[in-house]
Order: sequence, then C-alpha cells, then structure tokens
Amino acid sequence: MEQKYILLVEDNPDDVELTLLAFKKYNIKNDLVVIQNGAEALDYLFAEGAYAGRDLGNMPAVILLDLKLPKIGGLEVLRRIRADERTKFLPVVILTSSKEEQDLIDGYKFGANSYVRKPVDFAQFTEAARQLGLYWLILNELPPRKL
Amino acid sequence: MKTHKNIRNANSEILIVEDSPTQAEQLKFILEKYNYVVQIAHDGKEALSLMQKDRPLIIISDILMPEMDGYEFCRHVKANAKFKDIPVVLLTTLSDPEDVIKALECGADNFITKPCDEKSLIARIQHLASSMSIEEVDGAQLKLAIRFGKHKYTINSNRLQIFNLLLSTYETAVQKNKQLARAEEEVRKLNEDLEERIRERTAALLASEEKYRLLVENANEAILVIQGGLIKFANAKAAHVWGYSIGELLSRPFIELVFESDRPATEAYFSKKAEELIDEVLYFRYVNKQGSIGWVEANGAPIIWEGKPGILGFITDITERKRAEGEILRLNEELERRVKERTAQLETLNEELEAFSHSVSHDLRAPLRSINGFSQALLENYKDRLDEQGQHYLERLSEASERMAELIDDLLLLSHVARVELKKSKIDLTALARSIMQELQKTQPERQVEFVPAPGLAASGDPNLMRTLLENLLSNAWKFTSKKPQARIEFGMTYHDDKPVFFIQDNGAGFDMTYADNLFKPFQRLHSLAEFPGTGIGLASVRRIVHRHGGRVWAKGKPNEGATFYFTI
Repeated sequence: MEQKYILLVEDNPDDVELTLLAFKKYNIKNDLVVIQNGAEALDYLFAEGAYAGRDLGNMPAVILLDLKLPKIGGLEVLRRIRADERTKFLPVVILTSSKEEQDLIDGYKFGANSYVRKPVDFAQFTEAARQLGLYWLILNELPPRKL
Repeated sequence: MKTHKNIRNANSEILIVEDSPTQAEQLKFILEKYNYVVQIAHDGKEALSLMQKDRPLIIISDILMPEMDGYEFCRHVKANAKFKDIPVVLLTTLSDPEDVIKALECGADNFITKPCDEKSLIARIQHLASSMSIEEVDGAQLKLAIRFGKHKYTINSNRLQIFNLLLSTYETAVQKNKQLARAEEEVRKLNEDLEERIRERTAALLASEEKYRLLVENANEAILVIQGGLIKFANAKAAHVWGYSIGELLSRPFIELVFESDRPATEAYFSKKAEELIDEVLYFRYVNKQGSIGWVEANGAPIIWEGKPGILGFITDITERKRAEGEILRLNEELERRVKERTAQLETLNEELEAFSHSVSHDLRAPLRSINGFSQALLENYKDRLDEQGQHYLERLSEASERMAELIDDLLLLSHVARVELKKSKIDLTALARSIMQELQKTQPERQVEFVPAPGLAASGDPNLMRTLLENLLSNAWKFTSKKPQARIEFGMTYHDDKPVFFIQDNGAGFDMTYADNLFKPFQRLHSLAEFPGTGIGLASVRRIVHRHGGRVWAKGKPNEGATFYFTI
C-alpha cells in the first residue's frame, strides 16, 4: 500500500514553509504535495491538464485547503471536490487566516470536514499542524476505496 | 179670572218638563240659585200627574220630547180649567216663525231660547211672576184663525197672553240681534287680526327667502339646479368656476361643463337613486369657457324645483388641492427614490467594508504569521548561533507580531459589531456570565477570583453580541483584578429612574473619573501596556453593542478601589 500523503493547497510560500517546518518538528514524515492555486489543485485531483495520466487511485489522505487562492477560490475547489464521485469522500480541512463567520458557515455548508484558523503564534501553529497530521494521517479511517 | 197673589214668594214652585236630565239639572241649578223651588218632570205625562198633587207657579217646558211634545203638553195644561192660568214658558230655539204661531195656538205664555242665558232666564221668570198680579181687564177669549204657510192655526189665548208672548218673542229677537252684532264685531276683529298676522308672516317669509337667496348666491361653493340634464339655476360661484355668466349657464346641458373623459362617470352618478346621491361624492374634471381644466368635488341632492323633480348640486373647486396633492405625491416619490439611492450607496459601502475586513483578516495576518513563525524557527533551530541579545530581539519580534494580531482581531470585532444584523432573543445573562467566567478561569487556573452573579438576570438581545459584551466586561474585570489577592467580581442589577440597569463591579485597579469619558473611545487606554495588556478596543465594542440595542453604558471608578460598569439593554 502506498504511503498516505497530504495535499496542501496554499499560495503563500511562507505558510508552505512554516507548515513544512511544523511537520518536521513533530516528525510527520508523510509526503506533502504542495499546489499553489485552485485550478491546479483540481487538475491534480482529477488527473487533468499538467497532471494528465496521474494515477487516480492514489488520492491524498487529507487535503489542507486555503480559502484565499488565485484563479479558483478555496470554496469553489471544495464544491467541485464534493460534486465529483471520485473525490466526494476525501477529507478536506480548511486552513485560513479568517475568523469571519460567513467563511465558517460557507466552509461547512460546502462539506468541509474541519475548519482550522492559522494562528499567528508559531507555537500554536505547529500544535495545530501536529494535531492535523495525527488525526488525519493516523487516526482517521478513510471510506473503502471502491469506485 | 182667578189669580194667585198669595203664592208670589221666594220659594214659589217652578215645574221643569225636560226629557234631557242634563238640561233639566242645569236649569234647576240656575233657578235654585235665585231661591225658586224646582221640580223636574221628564215628560208631559209625569208633569201632569205632578201638577195634580202640587200646583206649580210657573211651568217651563221643552218642546221636543218623545210621546207628548211641548205644544201638546201646553194644550193639555190650558185645556184644564184648574191649571190654565199657570204661565207656561216654552224652551225653544226660535228658528222658525211657525214656532211662534204654534206657541200661540197651544196657549203658551212665554219663550225662553236655548241655550239658556242665566240673566234673561231670571228676568223672564221674574216678569212672569209679577205680571200675574195684573188684573185681567178684558178676560174675553179671542178666537183667531191664522193661515201661515200651508197650515191653518186657531189661537184661543187672551190678549194679555198674546201680548206677553209676542213681547217675549220680540225681546228674544232683540237679544239675538245684539248677540249677532257682537259676534259680527268679533269676526271683524278676528279678520283684522288674521290679516295682520298674514302681513307679518309674509314679511318674515320674504326676509327669510332673501336670507337664503343671499346665502345661495354668495356661497363659496358652486350651486346648481339641474333638471332633465339642463341647468335651471346657478349661483355666482358656479359662474366663476366655469367662466360663464349666470345667464349663459342657464338652460345649458350640464354635461357640456364636464371634461369629456369624465362624462360617463358623471352620467352614471346622475342616474343613481336619490338616497344614494346624498351619500356619494363625485370627483370630476370640468372644462371652463376658456377651455382650461380643473377638478371639482360634487355632491347632489334631490330637489323639487318649480314643481318638478331635479338635482341640487353642491360643487367645490378642488383644482388647487389636487395640484398640492400631486406635488406631495411627486415629492414623496422623489424622497423614496433618494432613499433607495442612498440605501443602495450604503449597501455598496457596507459590501466594500466587509470585503475590506475580510481582506484585512486574511492579508494582514499572513505576514504576521511569517514574522512570528520564522522568528520562532530561528529561535528554535538556530539558538546556538545567536547570543542572548539576538534571542531577545527575536522574542520582541514575535511578541510584537502577536500583539498586532490581537489588534487586528479586535478591530475586526469592532467593525463586525457595528454592521452585523441583530437577531434578538431572550438571553439568560446569569448563565452566560458563568460560562464566560469558567473560560477565563481556565486561562489562569491558579487565580482565586470570587464571582458573584445575581440569579435570574435576563434580557432580550442578539446572543452573539451579548456574549461579546459580557466577555469584554468580564475579561476586563478579570484582567484589572489580577494584582489583587482577594479578587471579587459581581454581576447584578439595580434600578435607575425605574428602569433596570445591569452592572459588573470589581475591586481591581479602578480608574480616575477624570478620564471616564475616554474609556469607551477606541484605542484609548488608562493603563500602560506593561501594567495591563490590551488593545483599547474592547470597551468601544461594548459601547457599540449597547447602542445597537438602544441602551446606554457608563462607568464609575476610583484608582485602586475598583470599577463598576453599568449598562441598559
């Protein structure tokens, strides 16, 4: 069985680097696939465009999705993931700076599994990353992969 | 002839023969007033039998009686030798000369006319009583045959008797004549009176008619009488409204005065029943002689005009009122349009503000996260290569970034509080305050704070905003009591001007009332950051929340003795 990996959809390179730092700190060794915009994330998931030919059987254990993305926004990416038979059961955790109520409501409405606010405090940030990795990579049982 | 001088006294007896008990009693009443002794017989037979027992001095007899009339009764009396010298007075209306002849024929002595006049009755009775004293000079009986009308009458009376009877007839006639003259005078006076009253009434009517004519002609309302569709009367105001002279209006079809498109409605109104007309007001446009159009309000009433039914119309020119109404309508529409415009502008602004907040929330925090994150990474991963001073700077960097994050969060909260839509419901403030205090305790489990909430505090408000309100006030109390070993925070309710006021009181650092005004202004702080950390935005948010609920907030305090925050919702 292939190693479980995380798909991080994040356009801010600092945040990508800090996330990597946090995972490294807690020895989360799973692969981290980083994609920097919404359109590319969808191409990756559905093996289209630059990712044509990718093995559709190899889906991430969890998608960490930023809300503010260039081209196609995080909520739209989430909506399309949920609308497709091949991806509708994928765990999606929304990562955002926003504490805006409306973002929260929309996130859950479109079927986010979790909603995590990126803390400014790095200690809190790494703690959040640790818990995310622990939960989604180790504790969570994915639905059977039969499509 | 034998006379009866001996019984001429006050209690001389008079026999009344009368079939009507009322008339008999009336006569008796008068006679008894003059001390005559009176007997009543109800018919001739009874009278004749009474006379046998008790011979009367004078007999007064009615003429019209059943069975035996007055004439026949008299004849019986005069035929009886025993009674023939008793004077018989007949009660008569004396409406026919035949009455006199019949009386003469039956030998009656006198007449009294009906109805009985007291004075003449008594005079006649007294005269009869006294004339009996006159000795009959010539007692010879006359036998007189008289033809009167179709009948022949035989009179047997003696001359004195005839003379007396004729005298009484004449007297009666004179009396009647006098009465007539009096009656005539009365009639003349009545006539004069009537004529005077007619003159007065006519003058009053003329004056009244003049009054109404003036009212109608000078009314500030147009008044028309319409008969068969034609104008039969118009007042000055009507002429003024339509711009015609009164003469030009008369006999003109009324419908011609109505603006063409309002004619059907006007005709429908005129075809209504009289009683419906009164309750209904008709609005129509008129066209005047100059061709300009105006509005009127009309009300009709049925009228009889010169003997024929017509309609009386009261018409008020409301052109000016309509114009004013139109203007008001136009102004209202303009106002509404402006309100819509302004609302749209505000909505746009609000959307922009929201987008701005959203952007601030995301974009300002991201670089802070980098600053903080990489400072921490440096501290953790490169600690051995930094001296103490270098580490200190990095710590300052990450603290500053955290503080800025706090400021951003509080600013966002303040703007959120200002624009979020209120959703009110009943809130258990006591329970809410307890849960907030528990959370605060979790942040600093080592602190000993006595919390005293009043039971059952409740208010109607937006649940999220009320939580923010209490969070701010309670965390302030929590923060400012942090240096007190015996911290105490009370949440209660009191009354100001009979209205409930909530308060949160602490025994913490307090403040100088001189600066109380600054407390609720954003970014105003009464303590240094080193003493008590904070952004200076919390109380500004509190004030906004209270204001949005239509309430008031104020504070009392004293340095080192604590502070009390009051608010109404």
